Amino acid sequence: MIDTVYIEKEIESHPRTKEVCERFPKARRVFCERYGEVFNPNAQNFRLQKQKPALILAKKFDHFILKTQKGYGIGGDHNFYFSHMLNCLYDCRYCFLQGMYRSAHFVFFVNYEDFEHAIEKQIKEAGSEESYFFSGYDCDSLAFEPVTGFTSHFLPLFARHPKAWLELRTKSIQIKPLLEMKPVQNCVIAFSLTPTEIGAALEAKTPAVTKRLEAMEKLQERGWKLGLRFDPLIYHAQYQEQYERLFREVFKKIKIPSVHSVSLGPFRLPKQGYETMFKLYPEAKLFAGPLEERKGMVSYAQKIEEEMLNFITSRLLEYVPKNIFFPCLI
Amino acid sequence: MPPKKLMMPDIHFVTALPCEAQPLIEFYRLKPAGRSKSFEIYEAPGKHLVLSGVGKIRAAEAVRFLHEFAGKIRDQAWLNVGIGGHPDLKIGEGVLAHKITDQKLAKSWYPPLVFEAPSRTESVVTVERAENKYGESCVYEMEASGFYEAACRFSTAELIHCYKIISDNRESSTKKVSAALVERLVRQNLEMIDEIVKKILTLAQALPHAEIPAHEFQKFLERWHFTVTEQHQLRRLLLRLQTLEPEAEIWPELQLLTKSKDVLNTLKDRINSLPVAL
Repeated sequence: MIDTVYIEKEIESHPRTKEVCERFPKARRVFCERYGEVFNPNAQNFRLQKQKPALILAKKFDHFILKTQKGYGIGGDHNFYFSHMLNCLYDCRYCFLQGMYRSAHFVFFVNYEDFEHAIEKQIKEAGSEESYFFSGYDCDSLAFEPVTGFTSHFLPLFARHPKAWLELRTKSIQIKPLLEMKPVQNCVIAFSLTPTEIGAALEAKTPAVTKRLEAMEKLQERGWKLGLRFDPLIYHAQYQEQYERLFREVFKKIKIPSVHSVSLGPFRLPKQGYETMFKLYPEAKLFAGPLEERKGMVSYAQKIEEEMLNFITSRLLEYVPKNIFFPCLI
Repeated sequence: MPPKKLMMPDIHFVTALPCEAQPLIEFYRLKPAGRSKSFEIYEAPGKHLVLSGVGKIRAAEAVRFLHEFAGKIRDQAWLNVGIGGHPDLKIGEGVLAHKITDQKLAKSWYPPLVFEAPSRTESVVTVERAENKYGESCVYEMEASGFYEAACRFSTAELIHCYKIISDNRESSTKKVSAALVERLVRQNLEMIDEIVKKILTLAQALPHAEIPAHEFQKFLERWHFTVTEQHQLRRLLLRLQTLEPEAEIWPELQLLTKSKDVLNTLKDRINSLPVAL
């Protein structure tokens, strides 16, 4: 699976570096000074690298947690995101990471303890108010779990701080560690969901939606709080019947008391990201369709977007109470 | 608008010495194709070889020369084939570079190995003079950094690689390296070199090929005046239309228009009117 592991010399002896290397005993090991030497050069092609990405083990130095954009949240006022990894195992054609990074290699920051200190500092600063921490912005929170041990490390931290919420955003069914531990009540396991046909066309290498639903059911039975993320909403000729069917399937299995929050967001990309993605995949119908630029963002033509948002919102609210519904309109 | 036929990129070889080049020239049946004061070029359909001379500066200049000679086409495959020294590896073993370091500049590059490497891979260090101490466990040679940095200006890193054949080690010093030995070592590695070439070219086929044929685009520029920005918009819209409606016959409709803006708007309207498929 991983043929090459690049390792920053400074973290060569870090216990997490050693653990990861032991998982890939046959991979070639290449040492570098800083991960940017491998990850950032101009002359790289994300599409080619996605065929066989390497793993880069690195140390993050600053900006461990960042404020989310306004309009992004699931009910809290203090919203932050953090990324223990850059890039994702999956290959979703709509994913903004393709337009953001030049390299498709996976960067894994091994210094969890520094993230932990930054999170605890932020929790302390928030005092008695709740803070929300989102993981899964620059990577899938669970997909690399067997390698990173991310949840095993961070969930106990949040269990100690009930005023701090953690959202794990995922399409993965790597839920074994979650099933083996006591549910953390201030943690939301948030699954991204799209109709089966859209998943098949645009979400390469991801578990099928039916598999994600099975994983969610298991988590529900164990008492974990779930998040439902219908994001991005993808428009096409049959979208109405497909989203209606998706909602029927989801709410047949997932019961509202287990659901912490439901959100949706239309397909939108920063203009520069769209330009890069179009160059990488000029033959992709997703990028060729009825998109237009508004305020530096590329999205479906306004009429289409409004029609789609209104339709999907109305259908979703047949199942979901308004107080747990958070449309994301960034 | 018929889509352009898929094109396999060319392979560009860069070698420092005639004795490194000769086996490749024979194996790929390359013919003399041109020369400047500094460089000789050999070619066959889909293949070019430039003889750079020794050293990283000459290697970089040779890359630029070959890029221009071959029509300045971007995203071609590049392979530097040469010899190098390693403390322990046996004479004749060939390695692909997974890291290239310019010793003088203390700068490194990391050729992404997106295909399964058919040979051993090693760190390669580019030095100014032949190395006889073999301080580190890596391949010492004299061209890779200049070659790689220059080629990265004209192609994408995944398609640019260095293959080095061990010509000397602690047991057998550079003094024993002769032109005849080098030629023999390269000849012994031809099958491996060819396998690497095939892997790079196969990988290159995953690059996007969607393009508007130049003569099609030219028709628009001759009929209407498009600003540079509008030309970008036009190309983008034509690509989108080609993806959504490959058999579209839009020219008759456009021909009635007098302004470039109307052409762009008509293309946009056509795209927006098409049923949206996944």
